[in-house]
Amino acid sequence: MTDQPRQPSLNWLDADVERVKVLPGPDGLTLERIMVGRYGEVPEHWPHSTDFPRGASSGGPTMFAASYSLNDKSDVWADNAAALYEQAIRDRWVSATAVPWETLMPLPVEVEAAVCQLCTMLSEDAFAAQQVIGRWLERIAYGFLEVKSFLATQVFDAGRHCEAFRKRALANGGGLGLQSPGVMHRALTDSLKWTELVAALDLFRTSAMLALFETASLPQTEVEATLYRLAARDLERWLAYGIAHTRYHLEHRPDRREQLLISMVRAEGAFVQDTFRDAPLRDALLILLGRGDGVQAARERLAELRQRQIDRYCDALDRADLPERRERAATVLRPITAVA
Amino acid sequence: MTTEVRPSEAQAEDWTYPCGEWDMRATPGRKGLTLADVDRGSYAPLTDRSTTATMRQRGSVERPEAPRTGRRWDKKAETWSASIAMLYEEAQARQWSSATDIPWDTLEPLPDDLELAMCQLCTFLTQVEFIAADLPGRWLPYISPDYYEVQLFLGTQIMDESRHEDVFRKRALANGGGLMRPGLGSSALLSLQDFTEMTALIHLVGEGFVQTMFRMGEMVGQNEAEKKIFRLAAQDESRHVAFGVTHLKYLIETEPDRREELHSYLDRFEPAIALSQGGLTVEGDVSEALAVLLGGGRAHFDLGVQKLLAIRKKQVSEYMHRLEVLGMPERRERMHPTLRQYLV
Repeated sequence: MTDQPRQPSLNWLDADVERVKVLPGPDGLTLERIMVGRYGEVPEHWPHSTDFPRGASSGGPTMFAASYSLNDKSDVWADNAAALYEQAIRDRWVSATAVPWETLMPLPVEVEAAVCQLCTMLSEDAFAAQQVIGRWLERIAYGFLEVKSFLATQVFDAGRHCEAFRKRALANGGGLGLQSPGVMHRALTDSLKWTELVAALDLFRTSAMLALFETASLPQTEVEATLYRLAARDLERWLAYGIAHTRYHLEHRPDRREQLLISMVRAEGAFVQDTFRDAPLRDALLILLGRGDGVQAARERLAELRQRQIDRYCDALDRADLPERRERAATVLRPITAVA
Repeated sequence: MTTEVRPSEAQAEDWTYPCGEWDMRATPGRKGLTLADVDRGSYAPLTDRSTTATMRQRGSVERPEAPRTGRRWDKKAETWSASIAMLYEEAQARQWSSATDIPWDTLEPLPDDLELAMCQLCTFLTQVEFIAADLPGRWLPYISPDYYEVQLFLGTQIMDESRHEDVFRKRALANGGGLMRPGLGSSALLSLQDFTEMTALIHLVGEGFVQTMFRMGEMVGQNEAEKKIFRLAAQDESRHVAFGVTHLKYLIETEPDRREELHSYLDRFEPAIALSQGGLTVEGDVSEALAVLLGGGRAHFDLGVQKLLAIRKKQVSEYMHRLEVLGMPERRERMHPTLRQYLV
């Protein structure tokens, strides 16, 4: 250690660098564009236990081993991860300013309470999603940086959903309601394999959420319509990763298919349990979907929503190359259509 | 499976389920509708201890049957910062895109020594940003939803650091160079055992040093693209550093008996930061690369070293200033000699 200039070695100038010059395209300089040469070669097994950047020159010092344990591409990869990362950044929104909060007007008390109960559930679900994804990051090796980058956007999305729905609950004369039964949260935290979590969160729960947000009669104000539309746009990316990763995983690890199929009953069963236990959410949805047309109409619409949730999930199963789960999943989930 | 038998009352006059504090209203202000606007009354972060072991959001009504979801830190002081809601909103408002917000078209071919020096620096930065993105995620499951703002802020940091890792990788591959030989990196930080230990080492020291360097980007960058990268990244790092300072300030004020523990973390890390940056002046690939960039080429290496020395002094003096702000002025006397020599 010295303050005095020394003769530099400059031996780094002799590194075996692969020289490239990547130009921006119509969408700018994207992650996909820089997947060139050895920088774009994603190995089936990542050999480094450190933060060695993919494609970097060899010959550096020996580094401390890190905590990465997911070193196989088949465990995390999705071909669309890089594109989804850039898309998430392009589609970013800010709950403080992108939602027309100033248009909120007082609602009938039971309608406001119903919106607040729904938002309580949505905020809590997003909080749970952020926790469960975040804790996996340090396990995923840096050979798969495109996946890690996408997961960062997912963590970011989840945080935004958590606070955006909280803001709605606290902005228009209501307040937060009763917490969720929490069984579905446990299905997420109980997933001990990354692909199991992806199936539970990105395939199953996200499909159910999307069906909810796509229900045209659900929003009561322009604020909720905006929130549901923006959140759904985010969740479409989650689903896209879930489908692409599951397909990739099964293609490269067909031996894992049975175990993955078994694991999915945990999320499906948890959702059924939550649905049966969550009378406040059921009644909130009846009020919101009923729109003054009477109890019978509300019940029919809720049953239709539940069926759409099942259908959307079954569609995701097909797209994720898990068609054999469709029939069993529909059977497990069918009781939710009767809860209305 | 439990079935609720309560009849639905879709058109009920009154809501029949328990709610948190009612009649909450908020209107957007100059910055829109922020967390500070809505988290009032019983929704504000009032308690110093949390008993929530589930995902229940602060202010919502507890279900006694909800299953627990893992171990949580119960003390607010473990993670809290008085500025946390403001820092979160700022992070939301100031996101940027490495694909489109950088004027990549301003990149022009550089002399080879400058191009490779920039690539060496970017290789180092992409490495350290890797770890800065990984580490915050580890702690999320331990954060109580009663202090949910901390989790949300860490989510923005994960996003920021991933973008930094990405933008420096892009720069290395965009102008005829590539990723060079990695240095020691910072994977050793993944062995940290405590949130406040992470805050001290990552936010207070590591990110602080990087932030100072980024703020000197006008000197390091050779073109507008690089200067803008450093400007935007410095803006992000400022929030992370602010979180570190305000969290540690809160901790020192509420749990003064943890002061010596903090010193012990810094005792261990201060010599390591000199090592990870390859020696703070001219030892190591990164420092040499910086000297080449600052001098304007290897022919002006000595000039670059003098400028680098000025940056090192600034890094250490700003570090000392942060310590004074958070309430640890005595660190000046205890600072490791490898850093203290730069204090003026």
